[in-house]
Amino acid sequence: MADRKQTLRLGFEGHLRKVDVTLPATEATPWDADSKLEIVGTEVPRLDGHLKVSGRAKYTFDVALPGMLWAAVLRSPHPAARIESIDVSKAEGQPGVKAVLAVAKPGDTLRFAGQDVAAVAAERPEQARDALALIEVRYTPLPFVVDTEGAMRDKAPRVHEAPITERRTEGDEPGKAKAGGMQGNVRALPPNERGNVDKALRESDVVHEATYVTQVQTHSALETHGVLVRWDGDQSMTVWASTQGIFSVRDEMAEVFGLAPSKVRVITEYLGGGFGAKFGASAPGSRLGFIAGELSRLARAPVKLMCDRHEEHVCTGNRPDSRQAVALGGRRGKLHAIDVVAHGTAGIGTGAGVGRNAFSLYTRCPNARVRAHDVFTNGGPGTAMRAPGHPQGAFALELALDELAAKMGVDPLKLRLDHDEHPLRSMQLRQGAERFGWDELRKRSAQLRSRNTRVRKGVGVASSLWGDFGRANAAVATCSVLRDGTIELKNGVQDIGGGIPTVIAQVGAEVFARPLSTIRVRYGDSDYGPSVGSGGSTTTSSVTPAVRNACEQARVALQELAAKQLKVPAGEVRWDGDGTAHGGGGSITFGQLCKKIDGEAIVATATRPATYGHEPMAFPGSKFYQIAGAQFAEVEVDTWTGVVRATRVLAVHDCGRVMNPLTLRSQINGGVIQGTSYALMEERVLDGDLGRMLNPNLESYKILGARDVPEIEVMLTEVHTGANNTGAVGIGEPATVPTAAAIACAVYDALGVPVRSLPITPAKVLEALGMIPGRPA
Amino acid sequence: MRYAGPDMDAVLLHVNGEAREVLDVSPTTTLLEYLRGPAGLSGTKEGCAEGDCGACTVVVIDPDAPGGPRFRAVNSCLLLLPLLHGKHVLTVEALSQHGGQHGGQHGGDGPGHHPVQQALVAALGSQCGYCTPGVIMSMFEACYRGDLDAPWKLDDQMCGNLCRCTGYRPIREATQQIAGLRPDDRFGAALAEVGPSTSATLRYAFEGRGGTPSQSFWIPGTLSELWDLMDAHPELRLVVGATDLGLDVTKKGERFPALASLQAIAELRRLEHADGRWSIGATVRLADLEDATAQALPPMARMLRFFGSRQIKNSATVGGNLCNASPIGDLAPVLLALDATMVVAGRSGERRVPAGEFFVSYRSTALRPGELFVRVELPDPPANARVVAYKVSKRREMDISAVAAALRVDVDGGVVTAARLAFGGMAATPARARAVEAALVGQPWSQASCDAAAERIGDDFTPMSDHRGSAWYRATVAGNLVRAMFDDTSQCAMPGLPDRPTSMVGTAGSSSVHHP
Repeated sequence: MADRKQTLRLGFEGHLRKVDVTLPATEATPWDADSKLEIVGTEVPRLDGHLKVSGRAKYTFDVALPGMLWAAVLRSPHPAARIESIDVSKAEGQPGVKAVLAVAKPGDTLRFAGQDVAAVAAERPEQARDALALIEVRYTPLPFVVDTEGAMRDKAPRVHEAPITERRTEGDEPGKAKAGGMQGNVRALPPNERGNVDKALRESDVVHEATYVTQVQTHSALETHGVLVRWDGDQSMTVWASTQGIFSVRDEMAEVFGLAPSKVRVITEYLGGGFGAKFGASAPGSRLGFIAGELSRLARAPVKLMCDRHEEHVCTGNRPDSRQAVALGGRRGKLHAIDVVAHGTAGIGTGAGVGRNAFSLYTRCPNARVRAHDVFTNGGPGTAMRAPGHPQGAFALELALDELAAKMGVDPLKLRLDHDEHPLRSMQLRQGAERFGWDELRKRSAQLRSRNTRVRKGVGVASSLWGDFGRANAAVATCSVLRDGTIELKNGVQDIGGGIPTVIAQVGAEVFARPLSTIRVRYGDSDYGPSVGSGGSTTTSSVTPAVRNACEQARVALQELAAKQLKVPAGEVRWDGDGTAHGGGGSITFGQLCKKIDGEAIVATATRPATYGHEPMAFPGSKFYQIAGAQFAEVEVDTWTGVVRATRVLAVHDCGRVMNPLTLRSQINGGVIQGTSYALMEERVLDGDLGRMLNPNLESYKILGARDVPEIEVMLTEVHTGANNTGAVGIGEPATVPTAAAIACAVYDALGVPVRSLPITPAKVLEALGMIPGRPA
Repeated sequence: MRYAGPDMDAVLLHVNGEAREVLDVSPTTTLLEYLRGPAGLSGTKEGCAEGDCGACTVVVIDPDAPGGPRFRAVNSCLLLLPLLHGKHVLTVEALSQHGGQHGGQHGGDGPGHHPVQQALVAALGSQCGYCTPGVIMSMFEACYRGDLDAPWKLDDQMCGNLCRCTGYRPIREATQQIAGLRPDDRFGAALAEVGPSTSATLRYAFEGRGGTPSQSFWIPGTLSELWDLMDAHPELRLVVGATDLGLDVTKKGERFPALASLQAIAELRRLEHADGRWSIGATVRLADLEDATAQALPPMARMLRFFGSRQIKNSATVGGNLCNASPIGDLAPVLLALDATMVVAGRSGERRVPAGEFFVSYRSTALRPGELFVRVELPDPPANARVVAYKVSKRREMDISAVAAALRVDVDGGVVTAARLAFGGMAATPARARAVEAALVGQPWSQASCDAAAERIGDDFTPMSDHRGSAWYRATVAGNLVRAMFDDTSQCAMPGLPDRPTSMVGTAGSSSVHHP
């Protein structure tokens, strides 16, 4: 069938316009600004809330099978070592032990403390842990380096002898170019440049240069990584996994064990968070899928392998650190040049870039250049973490911008507005500033500074950008209208917590004009059809258009059935608000009509096409819609102790069509909370002498607690993008990009001196003040 | 009620109203392991197994709490199973009338939910939902508390439940809805049925096999029984709340051969305040000490507010905190400043040790073999005293202090007549700043005197650098706290803490403090 043209009304409030798009023939007509929706866009509480509050939601950690064994993994105590010998025989006869596996072999080089060495499966978890102690391994320790700066030195121990391939997951931004070669432990990532930055810096009348440092952050999902493997014969298996990518688990297990992907069933009924670290059956730094699968094969019993909190910190991924040398040039009150040279470590892994902020946010600055580098160290590998690179990049860029603004004597907000050409973000910045009280609060900060008060207040603002990377043909949704009137919607997507099943149900209820109670959503199981991972803020924009297409197609079939019953042409059937079909003077209720279904159900299966619109603005360098956001933060600082408290955050965000304001605000709250935590508390500490993590727990690796949460206000700026048929785009990542940056800017506003290193601890605040704060005599 | 058998006792406990007898498990099995394993109750989650995240929170009825039986939210990951002997445990599964009947993703719409469950659903307090069962049980305690009358108490109630997704604001809203509701339901009835004290004693032996060691666990009912145990088992380790010892079990895999809980010895849990003196028993729970001192002894309550989560304070005891003799040990500076006396006892009788002599060196106390710390006594500060306590750390609650301080001066006629300035985190043991004290005594009570005395902090301490703070930072903050003391006691001689969190670790006042 031929494509068809359609005119849609797209854009955002005050900037709506008619746009012609070309749609595949099978595509539902996109919901646009003129669509009047009844259920999509309303505050529907999470459908699974009742299960979660009663302890009935089953997570991977909770699944118990008859005869199930528990696995435990022996991990390298050395940050770098060669394995001379490994003897597992003494573990084999231990009480309850059913299988032992040497994961590493003699001659293997271990590159971080925590790497897999061997594993045991036993009847009880403590038996497995006890048996690990009897595995005899001889190591030859090798020179190592765990700090980023040390690793950059000429004579630093080499972490990798040979160039390594990049590990990419669905959590990474799509479409990055290839990285350059390695020099020592340093590998250049693809640079970005426009204009002539060196020349522009020479031309500038004000230049601000400084280095900004960010820490390694761990994902710290409350449920640790884990898998449970059960072989169903020799050629198929069922895997329960705490994963944000059911199909990435399927593919990995199929590849590792030489199975057809269709023979691997993966189930994730519920999942206790992921934030980018839970793609594939394995963790970035531990072959969990292989270990559990192999032990299960050896023991001929199901094997469960759950990481403990220590392992979770050490080998399941992290947000790489960064050292960003930033030079900004100002000329005649305008931003003239942006230059960023970044080095960061993802440990033994790759991906220490600093996001798109510096290059793609202030596009009215004519000269910009970002050169980022991976620095290899003997630490656990980094991996995608909620907006990979962006919070790091935002922190350096936005704080540097404020420092430049101070040198140039201009308001930081004005400097941003002058150089941001995204019409929606400009509106967000203006409306946000008004609601936040930007001008008055900036004056208050200045007054407190000039009076040298013990407690200061400050405000800051930072921007967010992300792309709508919603994937075409990835999610296959099935809609079944059953004879009993139930509408069953199936897709194998996992719910990382964002609430996708609720939104799927809303789409079904909308299309059929049926109550939510008649919609049944089946998800969290590869048997329900292919889907996307919960990464890149793509779940809603990849899955809901497929669901809608399936529903619309089933509805066409239902309409034909109604036409037959009402004895009118299908085109004359009209549906009312409760799903009753009218035509030719007669009517038939939804329930009556479903009873007329020939067979058990009307079934339709569909996916979604590639994106076909991007109003009002595309993501730089691509055809994807650009998601805009801005956050304003207020802090309070005790200059005598250095304690910083984030008191208020205003988050202004766009996420295309608002599918469900409740789940949307919930995700924005979460982004702000994680960003605040990143700004003020979290930091992985590696001991330089031992090469091990000093705080692999939640006692001294601090994440934000209930008392530390700022007041969070959410402002939603809805956009009709034309990108897909529901108009959904993502929010998970955009919501955390600017928070830490805005807080850092606010601390600068409060103190008058910047803290250029995250997390902004009390000690760093006092050190930035540079002295015991004196009180005027 | 005594569950004695002829040779050996079983651990007897009630889980969700059902009596359970436990015989054949190691006494270092945690309550969480028991619930999720043999008891088949997977609603309670494991997030860290270290008492830091609260996902494992359950509620235990404490029959011996001051003022009568009460619900306590506790971390089940740290509690050793025999500590629950004779107790009632409630898990999330107990709350729904129809809990456990349905599974899967479509297991019902929530009729029969407890009000705390309804409130959390309505507030959208779950995202991934993994922290939710623990949140529910902390809210459950809140629901039956009668004293949640200030915003900070709600924060305090919920601060031990970490959420990584979104939940703190909706959780706070939901908690506000149900706090102090005390519905007239089967749970309230169960509370009323519990006798004033079960004093359940226990002799529990676990016979090791196949490489696992034999272990014993006792709950003696009197001190003289305890002396016998200590004589017979030199390796005996004492435990009550297990918030410290439990970590050795879950993180280091320790299988202690001989353990004794002091929970049934009534005299150790006495908390008295009469005739200007406090007597605080070794097994008084920190939550109860915080309640008792909130109005009457604010410096103590100030230190306890951010000391630990509600769950930890519901389990941890005064004796446990003092006897592990941490160099930071937040309570110790308060005791030093308030001139407390530690009372220790052995078979031959009691001995009194000034607090300043109790902390001998790094993690070591003046306790001799065969001795037990039984209580701490301290006088109310005199009317002319000004006392303020500080805990400075990165995160407010449940964070180990970079610096803890309790600062006291006695002022007569505008002149400092005595000073007791005690710090934690500045040396190998909690200690007083004698040089700063000397610089203050005899001086007029003024900001200038404090500023001048603060300069002497370097004479008292050479703090160390670690990842909680550099030596420079610690010394700087310690000096600044001495400066802050004047301001912070200017409105009130013993200030409490503000109702809402602020960046100030100092005053009860607002951020309007300034020095033009």
